[in-house]
Amino acid sequence: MRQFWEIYRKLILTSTLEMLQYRLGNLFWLLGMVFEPMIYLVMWSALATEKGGSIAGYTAGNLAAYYIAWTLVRQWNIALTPYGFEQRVREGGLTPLLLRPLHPFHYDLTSFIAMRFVGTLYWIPIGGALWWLFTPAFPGGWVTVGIFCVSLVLSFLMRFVLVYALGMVSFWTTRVSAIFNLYFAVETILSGRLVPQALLPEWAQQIANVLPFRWSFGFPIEVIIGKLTLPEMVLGLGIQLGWLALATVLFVVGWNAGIKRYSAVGA
Amino acid sequence: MRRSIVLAWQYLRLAVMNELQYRINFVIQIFLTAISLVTALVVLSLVYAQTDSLGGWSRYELQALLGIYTILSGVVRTSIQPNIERLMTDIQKGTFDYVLVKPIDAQVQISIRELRVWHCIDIVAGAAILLDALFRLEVSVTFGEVLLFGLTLTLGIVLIYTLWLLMACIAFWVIRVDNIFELFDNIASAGRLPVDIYPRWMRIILTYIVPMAFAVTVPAEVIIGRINLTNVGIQAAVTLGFFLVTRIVWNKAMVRYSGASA
Repeated sequence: MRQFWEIYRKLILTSTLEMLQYRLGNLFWLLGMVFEPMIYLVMWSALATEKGGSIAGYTAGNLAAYYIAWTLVRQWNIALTPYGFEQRVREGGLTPLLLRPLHPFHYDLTSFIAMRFVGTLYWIPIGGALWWLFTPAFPGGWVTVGIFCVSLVLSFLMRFVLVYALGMVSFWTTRVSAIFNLYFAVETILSGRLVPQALLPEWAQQIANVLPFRWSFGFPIEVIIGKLTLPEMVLGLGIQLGWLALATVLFVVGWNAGIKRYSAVGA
Repeated sequence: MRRSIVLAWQYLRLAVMNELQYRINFVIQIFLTAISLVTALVVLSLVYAQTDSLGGWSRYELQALLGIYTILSGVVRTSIQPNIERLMTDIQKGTFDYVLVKPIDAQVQISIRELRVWHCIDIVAGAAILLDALFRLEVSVTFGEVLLFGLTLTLGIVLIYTLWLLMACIAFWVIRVDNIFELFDNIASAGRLPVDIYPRWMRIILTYIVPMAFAVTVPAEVIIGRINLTNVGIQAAVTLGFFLVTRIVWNKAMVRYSGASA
């Protein structure tokens, strides 16, 4: 077990150093990600103004806080897309990975953890600039910040494993873009990425609560902007853990069944 | 000029014949387009469930804008993006040599080589929601307005083309530029809303650096009857300016190019 952690530590370190090489590229990439939430922020803020200051309990300050926290959570939401996995299966890139001493999942996970470190480092000045431009309303408080950090890590892990598990579909079919795009479209609407959950119609909120998307995106944001009570926050962390466990089971079952069908195309 | 047109026609024919082999992709593309359109329309209805006007734009005026945005991004996906992507690969691998040895202007060649036929479904879908919006708005469009709309839309396409090519030219100096495209794509997606509702600093970016304001908002204003001839004039001037600058940068890039393997 200790040896295992040692390997993880080394892998994360090497990936981090590797990523720090592309400084300008990283910066462009992050700046690009800032634009998307600004579109939503402008849209909903304009709406809040039309409605006399607030919409579904969100003031302009709340919305600004929501979409600034959004940029950090989005950063932590990045996972190996199922398209990436599909390409490995289709083009045979999986074959050399299978020869390595650890399961390919560990190499992917460590490199994405490293990406989170580098990304967060780059995020700090961007978040600061947004803070200055939009004057958000963050309630603060150490308990909130602590729970936020835990929920951020859990949101990363649960989404990473869930999306990885989805990639297992590629073992059965390589015409996967339709399935994946549908998944991401539903995720965009119901996760809180496009719109804070409170602004959705009641029935859509009900659906969002039982699907995983909200818990890997909107939940940590609602924590940090102070929209949830303490019991709600703790319950949310529990639900995140539940989804992480379920995703792990799905992934293990999918992998074990799928890898038998893998025939190393192109190798 | 005539030779270029003949050549473009031949490339088009080849691309169509090639893609007709993969008919199932047509069905998948319809499905994908439908997903993204439904998402966009859901957002519109969420917004207008709460209000009648957003930054002075009514629901169907915004839908018309969205239609134009979809048409333009369809053109990008069908023709501009695949051509530019091929150009980048050529520069990285050194196969750009083959373009230079052919007796047609290199810029013309690299602009007409590729066509992803199935993506034109986006163009059709965009036109459909634009028409739907116009019917619901019950605007009476005169023939002159249609002509002006066609002109501003064409200028918008040319403008976007020159921006893509301008970015691709960077690849002649620095090889890795994928991230610049990603950044551009993200900024360009701000074109889904009328420019005047953004805060000042974003308006400046969208007007002068990535001029989506001219590419999307101006044609939309024309077709919903808010014609502002000054904006149309500026759009034409900006497009011409960017076109000339791109040509100059392109010529400089041709001098700079030295092959990759040779």
